[in-house]
Amino acid sequence: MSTLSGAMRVSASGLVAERFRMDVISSNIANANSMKIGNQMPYRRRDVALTGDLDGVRIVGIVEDQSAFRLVNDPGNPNADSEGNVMYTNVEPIHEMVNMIGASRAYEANIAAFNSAKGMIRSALQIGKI
Amino acid sequence: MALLQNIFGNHADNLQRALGRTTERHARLTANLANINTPGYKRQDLDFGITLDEEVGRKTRLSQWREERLARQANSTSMRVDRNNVDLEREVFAMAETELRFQALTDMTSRYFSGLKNVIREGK
Amino acid sequence: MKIHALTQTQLGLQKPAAGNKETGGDFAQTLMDVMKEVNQSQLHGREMQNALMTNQPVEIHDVMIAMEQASIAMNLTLQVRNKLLEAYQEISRTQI
Repeated sequence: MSTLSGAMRVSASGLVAERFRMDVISSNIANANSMKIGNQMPYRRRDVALTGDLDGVRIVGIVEDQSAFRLVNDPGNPNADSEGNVMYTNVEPIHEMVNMIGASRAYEANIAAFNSAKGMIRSALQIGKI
Repeated sequence: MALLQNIFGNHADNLQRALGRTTERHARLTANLANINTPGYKRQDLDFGITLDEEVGRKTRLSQWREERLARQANSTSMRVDRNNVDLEREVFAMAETELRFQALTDMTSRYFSGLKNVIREGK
Repeated sequence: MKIHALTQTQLGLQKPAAGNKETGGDFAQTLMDVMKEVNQSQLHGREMQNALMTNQPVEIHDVMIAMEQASIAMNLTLQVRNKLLEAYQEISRTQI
């Protein structure tokens, strides 16, 4: 069962990674309206760093997206700066939705791969049963 | 096992190797899917066709072409910013193909052994 | 599927040369060899199962194939034995 059960483990690692990505994406989306208040900087978008090979995929850690925060001109806003700009988070909801869909599809694909390995083992067990 | 080898012939061996190779391909495709979002990862694959005992050492042109194509994919450029070249649809297709191939092989193996048992039983 | 016909040569049965005293011994030897091989395949089948049970890296299809081959080898031996027994009984019924 070695190669096939190893494949199931690899698929499981994929499920873990994609699930984690979905959690982080959800967190980004939840903070999509975060703005700078006083001296507290807005929420900085997060990403998941992954590494992987034939033995599966591993989560390295969470990284913060260093791209610039978004400035919106809104002089009437109490949080506006001297130039009338409000600083918002660098999360882009549409971008996050696209990533969420991608992670979700990848998750489903890993489930399919897992079932495929399982099916192949069952198939091998039928040898000699005719 | 010379005596038994005469009875079983090369066929069981070929089936066994084909099964092993199909499993190996499946393992690579599984890793490709797990790494579909890993930056820099390049897809891996292999040709699940075996060389039959009679053909050892003689590679057909088709199998050579297939292997070269698969090797090129290891270095292929991708359109993605993260340089990952795994394509979900392609992997899913390849995996379906591989799984069906495996089932066909286990089926053939079963029937082969069944046939032998039938011969031994003299059809009774 | 190519069914390899079991010729007498393959079974190791030799044509008894007229008046050859060695014939009986050769036959017994061949029988011993066959039994050894059948035993080997039984042991191999058992080994594969053990490897699976002890969670060693062994492929499931390899285990199944080994088990089938052991089973078939045993079946074949039993059937050959039956045939030999029939032949013997047939011969011993022959009136001299």
